[in-house]
Amino acid sequence: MKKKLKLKKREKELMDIDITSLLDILVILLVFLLKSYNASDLKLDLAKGLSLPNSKSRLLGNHAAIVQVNKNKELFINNKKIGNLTSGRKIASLETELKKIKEKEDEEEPKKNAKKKNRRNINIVLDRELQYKDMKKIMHTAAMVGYTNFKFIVKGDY
Amino acid sequence: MTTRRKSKKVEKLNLIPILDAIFIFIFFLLMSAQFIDIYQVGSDAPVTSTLTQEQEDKKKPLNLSLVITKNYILVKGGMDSRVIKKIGMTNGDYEINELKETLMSLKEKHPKESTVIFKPSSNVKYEKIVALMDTVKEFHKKVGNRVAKKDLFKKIVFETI
Repeated sequence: MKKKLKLKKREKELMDIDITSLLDILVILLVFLLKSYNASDLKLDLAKGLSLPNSKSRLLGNHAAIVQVNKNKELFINNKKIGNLTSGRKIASLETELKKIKEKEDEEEPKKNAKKKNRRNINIVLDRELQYKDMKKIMHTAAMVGYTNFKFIVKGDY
Repeated sequence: MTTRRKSKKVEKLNLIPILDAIFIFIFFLLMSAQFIDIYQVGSDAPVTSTLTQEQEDKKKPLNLSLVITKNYILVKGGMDSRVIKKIGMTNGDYEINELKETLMSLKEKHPKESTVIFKPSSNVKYEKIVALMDTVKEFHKKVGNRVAKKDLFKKIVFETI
C-alpha cells in the first residue's frame, strides 16, 4: 500500500496583527491632545531665553504683530531677530519693522485697516525679569507707528 | 456516518479605518496643540478727551492712578491726585490684599468708573506690573465651592509712554 503523500496545499493565512493596544495608546494620546487644544488664532514661538510672567488672566490671544524681548534684551519681531534694546526713548529697528508690517497689513486688507486707523493690536512678549523702562520703550515705539492696543502675553497661573 | 460540522467563522471587526481616522485627527491636534497656556492682558495707549460742561457738573471723576515704586504703591484719586492709600511691601511682595480692599471700596463708591492709570518707576519689574494688572482688573472671591468674579477697573492705561 502506497502511502499517498498528500501534499495538502496549505492555504496561506494572513497573520492577524492585534492592534487593540495600539488603539488604546492612540485614544489616550487623543484625549491628551484634545485637552491641550488651543482655540485662539495666536501662534507663538517663544524666543530662546524668554520666561513669561504668570497671570490669572484667561483672555485668549489674537493674531497680530508679535514683539518679543528676552532676558538678554534681544529684540524679535514675528520670530525674526532685529537687534537689541537700545538706549533712548525709541527703538529705530523696531519702528522700521513695524512700519513694514503696517504697510503689508494695509495692502492685504485695506478696508479693514482703514477703520482701525491708528488703533492696531500688537502682542508684546517680554521676559519676566525686564523692567518697566524696557516695556516703556517698546510701547512708545509701537504707539508712534500706530500700534496702540497693547496685548501683553502671559502664562496661565493655576 | 459522521457529519461534518461547519465551523462558524467569527467575524473580526476591521479596526484599520478607525486607526486611519485617529491618526489624521491626532496630526491635526498636534498642529494646534499648545503646551504652555498663554493668555493676554490688555492695555491701551492713553487717549485724551475733553469733558463737556454737563459732564463736569455731574459727579466728579475718580481719576484713579497707581504710582508704583520698587518699595510701595501710592493709590491716588480725585482731580487733585491726592493720596488715598499707601501700600507697603511684605517679604519683597506688595501687600496685594490691602490693595484689593482699597480698590473694592473705591469701586463701591464709583461703580461706573473702570479706568486706572499706572505710573510705574523705571526700575519696577515687569512681572510685578503684570501681577498688579491682574489685581486691579478683577476680584475673585470664594463663595462656598464656587469662585465669584467681580470686575474692578478693567481699563488700564500706562501714563506717559
